[in-house]
Amino acid sequence: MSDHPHFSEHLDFRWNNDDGHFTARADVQPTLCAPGTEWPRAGVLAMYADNLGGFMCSVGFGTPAPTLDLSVHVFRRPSSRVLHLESRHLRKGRSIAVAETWFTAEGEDEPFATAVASHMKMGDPATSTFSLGDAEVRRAKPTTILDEPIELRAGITVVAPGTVEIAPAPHVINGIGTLHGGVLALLTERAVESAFTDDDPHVVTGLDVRYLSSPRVGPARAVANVLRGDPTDAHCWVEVVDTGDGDRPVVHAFATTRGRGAAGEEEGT
Amino acid sequence: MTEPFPHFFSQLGFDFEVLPDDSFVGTAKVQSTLCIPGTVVPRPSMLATYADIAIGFPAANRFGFPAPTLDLSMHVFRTPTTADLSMEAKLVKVGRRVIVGECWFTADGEDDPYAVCVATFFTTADPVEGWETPGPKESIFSPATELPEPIAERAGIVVHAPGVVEIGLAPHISNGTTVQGGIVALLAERACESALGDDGSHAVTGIDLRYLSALRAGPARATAEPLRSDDQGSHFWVEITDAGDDDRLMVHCLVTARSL
Repeated sequence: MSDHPHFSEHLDFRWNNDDGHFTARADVQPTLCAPGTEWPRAGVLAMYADNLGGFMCSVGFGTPAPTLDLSVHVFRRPSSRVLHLESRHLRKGRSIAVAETWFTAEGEDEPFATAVASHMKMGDPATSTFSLGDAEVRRAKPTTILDEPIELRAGITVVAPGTVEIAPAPHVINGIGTLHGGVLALLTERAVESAFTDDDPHVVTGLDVRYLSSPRVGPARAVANVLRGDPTDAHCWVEVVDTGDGDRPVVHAFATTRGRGAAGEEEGT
Repeated sequence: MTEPFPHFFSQLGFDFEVLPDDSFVGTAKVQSTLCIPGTVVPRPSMLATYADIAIGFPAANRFGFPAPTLDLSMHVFRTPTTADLSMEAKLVKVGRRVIVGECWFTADGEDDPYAVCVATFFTTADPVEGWETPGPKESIFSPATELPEPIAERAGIVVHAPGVVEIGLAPHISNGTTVQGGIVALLAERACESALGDDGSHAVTGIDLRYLSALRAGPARATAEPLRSDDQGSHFWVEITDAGDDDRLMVHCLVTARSL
């Protein structure tokens, strides 16, 4: 059994709820960045957005609010790994809420990334209540140093180029006991990265993730198919299935990348 | 008195079938006025229109009632060699209230798809006995009509300033309640094109739309704000509001464009 701290303890996720206005600050460890870059992983940004926007929507509903879909778009490299996040409701319906989260690097005025996610009310507030208590306990803890890349710690293994797997484990699950949505986003990101050779590495800059079902058995397997690619950028389609449950579809995602060389020349990475 | 314009669905050149397993197959003879000006590439917003039907009709059949589109992502990842196309759609998540589907587009004469759309539909309505979606021979699609001017002009989109465009609600672009979702995508697309100078040097290749509320008063105003722009392409954040209803937020979307 895993004795690793829960992955969220590495995020330095210092969130704040000021009467429904959700903000956060995070000092992103290098092991949470795309290998060899200063870009916080798109999958890691998805974790932050899923948490902050998810908190906001859950508090709004008064019930847990699972994520239906989540898009992350990174449009330039931040100059600092210290990030400031701000979420707001785009839509606050009876059953569906949409949250947007903007990411701004410390010392910068303009955001470098944005995420939008839809969350669905789960149950009735009378019987299925939501509390930020656990998150407050976690927030009060000091950040745990992550001394290996997040994908290794999460237990993601490359089965073949473009194909990766992860087994559910206590340090990567969510409150309802299945793989955390941000970890599934990281899995799709790793599948895409592994589809490219070491001579042609790519950084994932966009993820459009649809959560179709929860992986109940595992391992979850992600297969990335490069739809179009060149050294500058690429588009990929990723399907995640629960291999232990008849390959039941778990996630479908569309990913965009930038070639590391192109991004590095431009951004000075 | 001026004849009203035919509904733009009749200009889609659309033939399709919803199969018993809720999948959808279709073909389209795409008029040049539905394409990115000067190219044979159908506008992403027009692909979004096809996809909204290709996923939305099977979803509505499942729900027993038309369900509004909650969100729609359209990704064009390659340039097709011809405008005419075929499409295949399937539902990938079927819940009590939420259905997610995807639709892949392939150009005629090609083997591999060049674009994909994923969309979510949501309902809280109860099913209506005997209700079903219209077929391709029904009046909204048929008879097919020519579109002699660019779809953006026919839709009534007006550029107010670079990056700011408007449209009013009209019967030929309505879904019966509000502006049809594909036309809303077109509005966002036009806002970005105008922000890029409307010089034909760039084309929108990706639209990630969240439909937040309907247009009630009008006009709908789209404002495109550039997030990043370089030789490879641009990202825009587009907000669409109901200008006649105190700028109530209707749509948020992220748009990507590439240089041609």
